[in-house]
Amino acid sequence: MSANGSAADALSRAVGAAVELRPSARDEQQVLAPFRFPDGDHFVIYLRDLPDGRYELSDGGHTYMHMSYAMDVDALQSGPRAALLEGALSNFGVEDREGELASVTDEDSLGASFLEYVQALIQVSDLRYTTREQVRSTFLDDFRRTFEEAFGERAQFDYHDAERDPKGEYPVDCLVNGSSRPAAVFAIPGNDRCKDATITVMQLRAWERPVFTVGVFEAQEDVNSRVLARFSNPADKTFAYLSGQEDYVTEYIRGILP
Amino acid sequence: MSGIVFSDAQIAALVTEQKPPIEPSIFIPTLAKLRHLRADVEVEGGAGSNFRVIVRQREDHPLDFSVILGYQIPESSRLFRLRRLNGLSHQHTNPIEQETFYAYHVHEATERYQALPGRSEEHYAVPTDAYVDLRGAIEHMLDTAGFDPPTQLRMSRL
Repeated sequence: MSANGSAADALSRAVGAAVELRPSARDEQQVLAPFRFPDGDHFVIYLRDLPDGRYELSDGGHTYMHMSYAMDVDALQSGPRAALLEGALSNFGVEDREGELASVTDEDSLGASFLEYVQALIQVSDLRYTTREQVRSTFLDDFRRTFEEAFGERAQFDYHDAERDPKGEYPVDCLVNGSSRPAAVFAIPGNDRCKDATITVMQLRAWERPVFTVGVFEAQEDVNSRVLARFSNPADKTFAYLSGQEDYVTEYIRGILP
Repeated sequence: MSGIVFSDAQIAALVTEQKPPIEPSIFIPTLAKLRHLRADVEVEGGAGSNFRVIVRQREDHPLDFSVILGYQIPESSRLFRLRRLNGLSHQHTNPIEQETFYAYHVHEATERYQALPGRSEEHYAVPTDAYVDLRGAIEHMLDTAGFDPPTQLRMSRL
């Protein structure tokens, strides 16, 4: 056997030794492997015998549950993240069965299918980071979805004062109605939007509009400190992030509306 | 997940900060989504800190659960996870200590894991035999994280 052959055998044995099976239920075993989330918890993977002799790999729904500790997993069901999720799953032949990620394979393809299944779980798990750096476009989509779900018809998007500002030069991303002092909420992904929001807040003040002004940042630390200060001074409230804190933000706004 | 946000002493102070008495049943998750049950409860501490308890449990696997105590950082929307009590459903690895186990375990926020790039603040976990189901984990969290016992429970223990 060649030296390369020996190395291949050694690698094959080492990789095989890193994977164990643990009895889980009838016709089902849990696959214990070194692949894990960023918090040290290993992926949950089951191997099931199917009646037709094939096999099924499943996470039992654990992956989404785990991701929900740190993010709003409902955000994966729509918008840009849904497209990323669909790509991560379809590239590796994995189905999303209303929360359970599963892949069916046969004995000849079991090894390759297992590795592809793990790759799919890693890519799905990494979607939590799209909330910040990787997909900037999701922030505005998340903002809109969050306020639509929380306030329904009370949320008026891309609002402007039709009487004083017929050309819409001072837009508000979302006006939450329902009281004599509605909330004017600005979605702020960066410096330019922060400057625009500052001008609108100042104009609302000049018009003496009785509104509670709120800034929701994608990542407040990314905004220039002077730009941020100019907005924070006239604004009534700011939130440094939206991601993972959607309920907190909307509950706060619900609370300040009489 | 970058840099040290809280020291070990600050973390201990937040965990043990006095919290109001809450019946364990409040934390039992009932909202079903994506094959798991959810409950989220806001709690105000005696020193004015805002905490959130997040509970998750898989619908088809009662031992796959998490009970999380998070601290809402003021003037920020970030939730810092102080503790996480996990059920018996998966392996866990502590890379600094070079140990892997399959057991009920409790994640704890630590200074040393905050200092590691790309790690969650509550990465470190220790095996536990303090509970064997979700209800037990909730009660263990209430007992060890500064919650005053509910009046009825306190009376029954007299």
